[in-house]
This record gives sequence, C-alpha cells and structure tokens, in this order.
Amino acid sequence: MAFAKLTTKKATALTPQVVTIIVDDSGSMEGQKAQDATKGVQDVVITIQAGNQGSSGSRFLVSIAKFGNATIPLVEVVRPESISLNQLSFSGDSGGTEMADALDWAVRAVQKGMTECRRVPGFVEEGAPTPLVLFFSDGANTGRDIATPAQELRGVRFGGGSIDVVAVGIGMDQNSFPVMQQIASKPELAVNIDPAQLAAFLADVGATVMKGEDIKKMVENY
Amino acid sequence: MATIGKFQLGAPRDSDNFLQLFAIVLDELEKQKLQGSLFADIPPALLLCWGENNEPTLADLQLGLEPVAPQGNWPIELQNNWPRAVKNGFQQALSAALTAAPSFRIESGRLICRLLAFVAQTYRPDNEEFSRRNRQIGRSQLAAARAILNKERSNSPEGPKQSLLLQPLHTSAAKHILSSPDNKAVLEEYLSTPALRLWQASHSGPTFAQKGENQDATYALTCDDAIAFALADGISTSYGARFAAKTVAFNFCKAASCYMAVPNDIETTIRKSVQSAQDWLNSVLLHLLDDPTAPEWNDVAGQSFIARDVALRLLDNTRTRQHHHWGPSLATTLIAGIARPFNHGWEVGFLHIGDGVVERWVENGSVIPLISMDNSQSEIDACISPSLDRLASHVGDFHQFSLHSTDLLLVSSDGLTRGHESTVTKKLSEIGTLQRGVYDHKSLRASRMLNKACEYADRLYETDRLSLFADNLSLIIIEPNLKTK
Repeated sequence: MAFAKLTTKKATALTPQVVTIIVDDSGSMEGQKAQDATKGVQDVVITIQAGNQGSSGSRFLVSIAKFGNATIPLVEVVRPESISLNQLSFSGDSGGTEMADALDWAVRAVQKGMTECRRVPGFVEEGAPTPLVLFFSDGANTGRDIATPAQELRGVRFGGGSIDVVAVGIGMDQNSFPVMQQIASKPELAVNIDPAQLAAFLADVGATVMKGEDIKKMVENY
Repeated sequence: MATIGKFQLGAPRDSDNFLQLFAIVLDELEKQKLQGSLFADIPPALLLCWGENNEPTLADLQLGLEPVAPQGNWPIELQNNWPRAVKNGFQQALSAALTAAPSFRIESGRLICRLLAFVAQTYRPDNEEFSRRNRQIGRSQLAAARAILNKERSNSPEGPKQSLLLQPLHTSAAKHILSSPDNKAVLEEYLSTPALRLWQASHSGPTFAQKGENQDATYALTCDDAIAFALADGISTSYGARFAAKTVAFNFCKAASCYMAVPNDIETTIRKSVQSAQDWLNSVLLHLLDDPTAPEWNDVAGQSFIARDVALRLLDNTRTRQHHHWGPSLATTLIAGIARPFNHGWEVGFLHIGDGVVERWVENGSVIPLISMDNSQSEIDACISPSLDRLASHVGDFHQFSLHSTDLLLVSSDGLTRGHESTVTKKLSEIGTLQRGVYDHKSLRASRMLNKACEYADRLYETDRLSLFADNLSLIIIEPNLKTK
C-alpha cells in the first residue's frame, strides 16, 4: 500500500493524538463482518499499543464504542496499553443501527480526549496531530436523523482547524451511503469498502496513525 | 596410569569437540558468578586419576547432580567434602558438562573427568600460566561451541525444552546485564589497554523528553591490547527494545573478545560477533514463545505496560511475519566494532546497523563524520532483531580506518543529534561538555558529560521551548593511549 510522505505532526508524548473508533454492531454485521471487525480493531489497538512504548507520557488517547440499538462505550479516553483485547469483541447482536446516538458519544469522547491533551505540560495544539474519528457501518441508519450530531462532530475545532472524521461503509448499499458522506468531515473521507477489505483497512489505519501520515491519502487507496 | 606433569589442554590429545565442551562448561560456570574460590580444594590430579584409573560411567556421574553426597564409584575426598564441592561450583560444572556432552559426542565418564580436571586446573590459585592458557582456549572455542548448541536446538523436534543448556545461555546473561546497578556502570565507565582508552555512558535523556526508560546501551570489553565496543539504541516502538539493546551490546562484545583470540580480519571478526548476538536474540525469542510464563518475560518487558497476550502476538509476528505493520520485537540499532593497535598505529573497524553517529575529531580541530544522520528523521531503516531466516552478519555497512595518535573517536546514539545542525562533537564542545586534551580517567566521566548535556537541554527547553537532545543519550569515546605508545 502506498503512503504519503511523513507529516510533521506525529503523535508524541508532548503532542498526543486523540483516536476514536465507532463500530456498527447491529444484526447485519453478524458473521464474517463482525469477526473481521473484531480482528481489525484488535490489530489497530496492538499497533497503537506497540507505538506507545518507550515513553512515560502517552502518544495516543483512545476511545472505542460499538453501537446497535444503543451505543456501548468499550473504552473512553484511555492510554492504549490499558485496553484489553478481550474488551474488543463485535458479534453483530446489538439490534438496529442507531447512528445518531453513536455520533453524540463520539463528540463527547473527542472533546474529552482533547481536554486531556491540553492538560499535558507544554502541549502545543498547533503542533499536535489532528484528532481522528473512524465511523464504521454496513447498513442504513434506523434511528433519528444524524444531521445535527454529524454536524456537531464535524464542527469540533482543534489547532485552528477541524478534526478528521472518516466514515467507512462496509459493503453498504449505494442508497444508504449518502449518510456516510454526511458524517465524514470531508467528502473524500467517506469511503465504501468491500467487506473483505475491512481487516486490511483497519490495519492500514493503524499504520497510518503510527507513522503520522495523512489519513486522506490512505483512504484514497480504497 | 595418568601423570599430572604433562597435563595440558589442547590438541592433539584433546579433540575440537572436547575443547568446545570445555568452553561451554567454563562459560556457564563463570556466568553463574558463584561466591568463593571455584573448585577450591579439588586438585586436578584427583579428577584425572579418577577418570583414568577408576573410570565412572555417565550414570555414576549423574549421582553428583543430587543434593546429597554421591556414593559408589566416587573419590572419597569428594564424598567427604560434598557441601563444599557444591558451593565451589563443582556440581554446576558437572551439570553443564553432562547436559551439553551429547551435543559434542562426548560419551565417556573418563573424558568428563578429564574435562573437569582442566576446569580445576583453570581455577588453581597458584597456576596462572595454565589458567590463562585454558581460558584463552575456552574463549577461542566458545562461539563455535554455541553455534553447535544452537544448531542442535533448532533441529530438535521438541525445540527449546530439549536443550536445557540454552536456558542459562540467555537467562543468566540477561540477569547479569539487567541486574547491573548504576554505580557498577559508573565504575566500568572507563576501560584501558596499553594501547587504547575508552569512556562510555548511557542516559535516559533530558527530563522534558519524557523518556520512560533508557533503551540505549553501551558496552565494552578488552581483549589483550584491543577493545570491543558496542552502542545499541533499542527501537522505542519495539517490544523488549531495552532488553535487546543491552543484551546485543553485551553479547557482541563478549563474542568479539572470543573471536579476537584467533587470527581473523577485523570485518570477519565483527560480523561473526554480530551474528552471535543475533543468535542469542533468536534463542530468547524461541524461549519466550515456548514458555509464556517464563520469569524472563519480566526482564524483557522492562517498563512496557503491554499485556502478555499482546506481547505474545508481537513476538509471534516477529518469528513469522504476518502483520507487516507491526515492527519486529526485540529490535535495536547497533554500532559495534573493534579498536586495536595495528602496524605501529591503531585501526578501528565497526559495523553500523540503523542509526547513530561516528565522528573523528582530529588534531587540527576539525570533525570528520564517518557516520552521520538526518536528525529530523525518526524512521529506522535497519535494525538487529530476532530472525530465523536472516543473518545479521549480512546486514549493516562496515567501516574501517586508521586512528591517529591525536585522534579522538566519538560514537553516539541518535539522541545527541536531535535539535541542532552541528556534529555531535562540535555541539558537545560548544556547550562545554567535551574538550580536547584533558582526558584522564579521573577527570573525564562520560556519564557526567551526558548529565551536563541533559541539564543544558532542559534549561533550553524551559527558557526557549527548544527541544535539544530529546531522546535517550549514549556516548562512547575512544582514543589511543599515548602513555605507552
């Protein structure tokens, strides 16, 4: 996979990055997709855990949730190494696809993460990597309209700019996909991937975050 | 009847296999760092005569591995002084010999007794000539002996469990390194031979850089007039990086000091020694994967908070690469070399794997960078790590040059290149921590230099928010010893 050149905004103990992952665990995810999501998210976490070694401060602050009828936070604004892989399990048994609640949670998690970053002594927001939100779903929204929470998430400001929200459809029906374009912070950050690519996509996310590369360039490869 | 008068280790009487087993036993015994005089009151003649005149079977010898005094075909002198024999290393040597003997096709009790007699001869307090000679033979045979054990181990269908001797190979050496207290490190900071002097130190770095642990390591050993030196910088995102750096630096120097005892060109000696260090890392990897509850896991983990199940996956991925986004565990960069007198002058050879800096500070004050690096780059393009299908001796770039009497050689990790555009030598001179012509081992302490550099960097960060030396820091300084040259 080709990657863009390094940016200067790499996650460090002085400039940690907020990473938030939200995964659809509704009934339609049951089976292979849920298994791939489990494996993929675990791999991302291992990648970030490995990358967080060798520093007394944390280079990343991670939040992960799954959603169906309700949003279930698995971890919220924690150092990567405090995450147990056993916590990261998706089975596609959480009912419907209530996206709005999940986006509300994402807004809170990102803001909480940013607050933690700003507490780091010597933290310079302009020098820190942009907070990253990854939103995964394979089906149409079954709950209330997402326009307001999506706008609120896209509107979170950091370092004088907006945050990166990547909305990933997992083999999504083309008629349902526009909702992901509403969620993404830029049009090019909405992507509909083949379900078979889910694990590889997540692996690339981990590598991109670790290297401080441009997430947009990575998404373009899908 | 055996005679002690001509009792001398070596060919043609003693085969290569015998000498290699002797090297293993001596090495194992010395690594255990037993208290007291080794083999005290066990005369070589007692053991030699036992083997020649009343040969024990291997089963007889196995009785000596028990805590109680052996009976039967054992010399009465040993039976009566058994607690003392155990305390003085005899039982440990016997255990090492019996465990490793099959790998070297040594199958007779007579030969084991002969071998133990040579061990006793080596530790005789009044016999320096034999002691030095035996140790030299042991050093020259050790790398080959280890290679045989490692090969046998890798061919074994049962893997590491079958090769009991390999466990001490990596565990006890690791403990030796990791348990070294800081004050001991300071004491060993200066080394000298009649031809060369070396200062070394490592530091976790400026406080503002928030380096949780020092993943750099330096090590050096003398061998006659020469010095083997190594500076390793553990890859911070690699599990077990600190352990890897310390043990690779240590094992390189240890192997190099053995290989230097036999004639070889300097590059071959260095590459073989690097390979030896990697072989050791391989054995660590296999041991940890084989036993997820082994106590050595704690040594390897250092201050890493990574859970054991994740660590196992990272190590497994190091053995068999499936996730290419996960870097290898136990990975470190390495600058490892040998400095020695040569043709009425001095020569230095070193292998460079990954990053780091090597500079020559010559008499007219100019600095010649032999290895430099982009100080803004944090990506590592090469490292030494466990690999079962790649030879470390085949990687890295080799450098060789003459060192002049007024030269000063500086080796450093990448930390000292961070935050400035100058050479490390110039920068350290500029901030007043490095000066020419004032070096004696009393006034110069490499650790003091690094402390000062860190204090300077912390002040700079506090006043101007400038990040100087923002990493672990390590330094080796070598210069010809002009007192005798």
